[in-house]
Amino acid sequence: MKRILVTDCGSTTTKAILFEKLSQGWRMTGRGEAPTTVESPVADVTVGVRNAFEELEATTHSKVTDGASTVPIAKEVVDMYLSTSSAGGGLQMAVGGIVKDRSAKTAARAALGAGAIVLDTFSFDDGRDEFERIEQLRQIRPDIFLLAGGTDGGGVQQVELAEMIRAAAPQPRFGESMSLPVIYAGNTVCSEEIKRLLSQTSTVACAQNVQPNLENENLKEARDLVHELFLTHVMSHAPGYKKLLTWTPKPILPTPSAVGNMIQEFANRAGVTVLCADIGGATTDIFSAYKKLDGEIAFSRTVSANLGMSYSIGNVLAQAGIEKIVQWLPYAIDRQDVKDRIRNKMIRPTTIPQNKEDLWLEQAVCREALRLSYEHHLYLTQETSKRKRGGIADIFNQNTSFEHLDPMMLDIVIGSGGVLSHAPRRIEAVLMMVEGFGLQGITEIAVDSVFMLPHLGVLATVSPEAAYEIFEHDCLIRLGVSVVPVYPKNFSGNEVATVFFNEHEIGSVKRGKVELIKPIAKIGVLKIIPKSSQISVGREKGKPYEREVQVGSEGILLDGRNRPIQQPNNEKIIFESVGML
Amino acid sequence: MTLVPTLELKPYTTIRKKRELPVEGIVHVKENAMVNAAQCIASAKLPGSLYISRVSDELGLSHSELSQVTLVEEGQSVNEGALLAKKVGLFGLFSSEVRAPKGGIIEFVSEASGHIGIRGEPKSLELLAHIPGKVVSVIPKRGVEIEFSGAFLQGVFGVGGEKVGTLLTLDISSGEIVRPDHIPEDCGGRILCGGCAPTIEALKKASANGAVGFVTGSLTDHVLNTYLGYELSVAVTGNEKLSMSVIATEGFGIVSIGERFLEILKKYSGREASLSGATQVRAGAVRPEVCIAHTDVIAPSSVNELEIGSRVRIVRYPYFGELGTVTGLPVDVQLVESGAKVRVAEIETSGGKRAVVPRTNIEVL
Repeated sequence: MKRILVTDCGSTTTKAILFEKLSQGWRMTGRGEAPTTVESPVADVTVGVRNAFEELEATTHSKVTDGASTVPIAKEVVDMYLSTSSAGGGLQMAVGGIVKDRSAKTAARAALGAGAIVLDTFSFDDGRDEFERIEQLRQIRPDIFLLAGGTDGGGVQQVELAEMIRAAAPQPRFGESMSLPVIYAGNTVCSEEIKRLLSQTSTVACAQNVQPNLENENLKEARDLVHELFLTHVMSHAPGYKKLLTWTPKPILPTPSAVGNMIQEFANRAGVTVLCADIGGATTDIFSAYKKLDGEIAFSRTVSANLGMSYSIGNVLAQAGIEKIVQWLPYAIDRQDVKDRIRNKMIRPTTIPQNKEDLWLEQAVCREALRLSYEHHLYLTQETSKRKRGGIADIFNQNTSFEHLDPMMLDIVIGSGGVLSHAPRRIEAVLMMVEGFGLQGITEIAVDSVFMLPHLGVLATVSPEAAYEIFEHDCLIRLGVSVVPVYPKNFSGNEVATVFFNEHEIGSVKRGKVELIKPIAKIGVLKIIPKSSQISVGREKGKPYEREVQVGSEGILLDGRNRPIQQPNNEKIIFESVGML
Repeated sequence: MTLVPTLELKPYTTIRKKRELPVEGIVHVKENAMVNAAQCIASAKLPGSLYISRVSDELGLSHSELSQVTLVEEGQSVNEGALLAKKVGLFGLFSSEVRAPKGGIIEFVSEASGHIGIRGEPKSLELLAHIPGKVVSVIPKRGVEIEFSGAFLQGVFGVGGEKVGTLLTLDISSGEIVRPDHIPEDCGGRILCGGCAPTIEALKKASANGAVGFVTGSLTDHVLNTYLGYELSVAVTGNEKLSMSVIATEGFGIVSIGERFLEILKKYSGREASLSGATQVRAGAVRPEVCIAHTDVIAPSSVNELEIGSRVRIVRYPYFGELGTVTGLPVDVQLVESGAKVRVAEIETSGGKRAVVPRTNIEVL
């Protein structure tokens, strides 16, 4: 194989990339993108794919399509076509339980934990008449319904909610012939009855009871099942996918799975702790991989289905609040104007910023989407770790290390998705990640050059070596290194830490200030010596910390703002400090 | 030529819509029948609501003790306020009781949950045609498919459910902010059209005066949230319990109502229209719409292709809301002010300005 054409059909944009084996090895040689066309009136994902091919051809002046054929891939030019997809957008669920504040709430927590937007929570005491519930369920067209209720051996009234689902027979958003996936995670006594009741209208999958008794919740299995059904049932029924499947000899991989493949591969090969954010239009996926005490690589992925840069941008505004967003703007702007602009992006998701003011507003929203998604990721991964420690021995073993991703020990953070990968100035991507994630310690910062992690992840299923070669050469763009000591609130000194690069002092981190240093050498050992025993720059408070880093295109960012970044934060000064204004 | 996303704006077209009951019922019309918008086309008897009385919790008993205090049986009819259970305290003192929150039939007495369930009276549900037209097929026990001919206009965002009313064009310019003094005192059953960015006072007055719909150029985030009574987080709307649905043709901020949109609304002012505010801005998008039945057959306009000479609307700052004509479509990517390199369209705006705009930021009219 010499040429492989790959598309990623995102919720907003479809990206086509051509990979070729040249004399120097596998490289990316062409790229084109076009709006995704799953929306009416087009309602056919392949139209957007063809448009992306056309854009690729127009910008590279090379031919990859065969206009005469129903399968438009030019076979004499392209050896294989592959694709990933997240065009189903975010995950929208409805949940139900007997009582609003008990099983229904637990079901909502399970759905939220799986990264869903909970469109509605149904219970017998939700203040609605039954016909209203039925009508509402038909209207909202959830992707998945999670039904809970009753402790094991306890209440059985949730069977009536199954009757409600049967009566509503809601049509999922995609797939006219598809029945609504229902996850039952309630009193196990009712499992068979609920399967029987819903056999005509829904596809029922059972998980362990989310509330097996009144003292405990057990959300993991239901959450995992939600993820699985989303990938297998929802996404694959988006308009036009049946046709697209005939173009490729391999399964269309869900975008997050493809990105996860590549991140795991990188963490394993390089032996580093990685955090990767793929921020899309509807969702933000966070991936982390770190070495556990036993040397194994722990890998986690969470999907914040309601945090994104277009379809879900209104939810970022609602969750973060306007003040959190405008704190990242280097200019003054009317709050109402900001809200209107965000709403306009929400209703016209394929538009892009034309001027800097508009660009920086989207980047401000991005910082908050990253912050919220990262918090969600840490919460869920830490919760998983806690649950795994549940044994009797752990109760008595107070020395058991609490293993989870330590933000201070992150080696590298990788940003992916249009707002990060396509930031017109790379330093903008650096700032978005430093401020959005609230990076601490020494962290290398990189972006997926043109958002090709999904493409490489699916390519890796047919040629892992080709995928990793392109990842190192064309995908991973190292932008810089952030140095962020964390110090007590009452620390009053001006200098927080001294910074050495290849044993030469290159500067110091000053309290509250940001400075960008561009050393000549691009690879070297960065050493940070804290100014006080109360200051952390690595795992141990007050101790110097050093490690080899790649400086990247933008340099070393010395960030003296404590974490979390204190208010008021004057972003105009920060922009000036790094040469953006 | 490139297809670009756009909204439907057809002075004359024929569309089919399915109208279905949420549960099985009776369909009242036959195939080929002509129906009007307000006509009931199907109905169903729905089971009454299930009211749950948490008896054990209220009386401070364990669930298994429910049967010892329950005074009713499954299948028994009870009136609102009827005694369901009674616990007598020590020496017959300090008794406490639970009464029926609603009248109905006792559906269950559950010792598993300690609850008593009361099923209320059955309710009837009527499904209206919503759009006038011909019944082209009947879905047994569920509903019908209606073929409608007339104007079909999609807005970009709306709130509120389905409404039928008479179009009334406001006597203001397309770019004027709609204020309370623009709202007629008597607008019962009307769908008000025109202007932009109505104030919250104008919306409230229109609603209070009986208007069932409001089609305007834009909304502001503040007015939308105030009108709804909460902050909208995701663009999934249509089920708001509003007596007046609202549609924005252009977006958020202060933007004139689309000139072609307004032209069609004006032409049919005084006619009946069916309106839906439902919006779902995601894959499989649903946009708010206005349907106006008429028989003035107008030749369909060309496909929405972007080419030199196309009339377009710019949908992003700094030219948001401006209309223009495409004068150039450079093949190579170009640098725009944000620093991004993108494919652009050269546009002469209606005001005579020359704008270079990313192609993704325009909609073909």
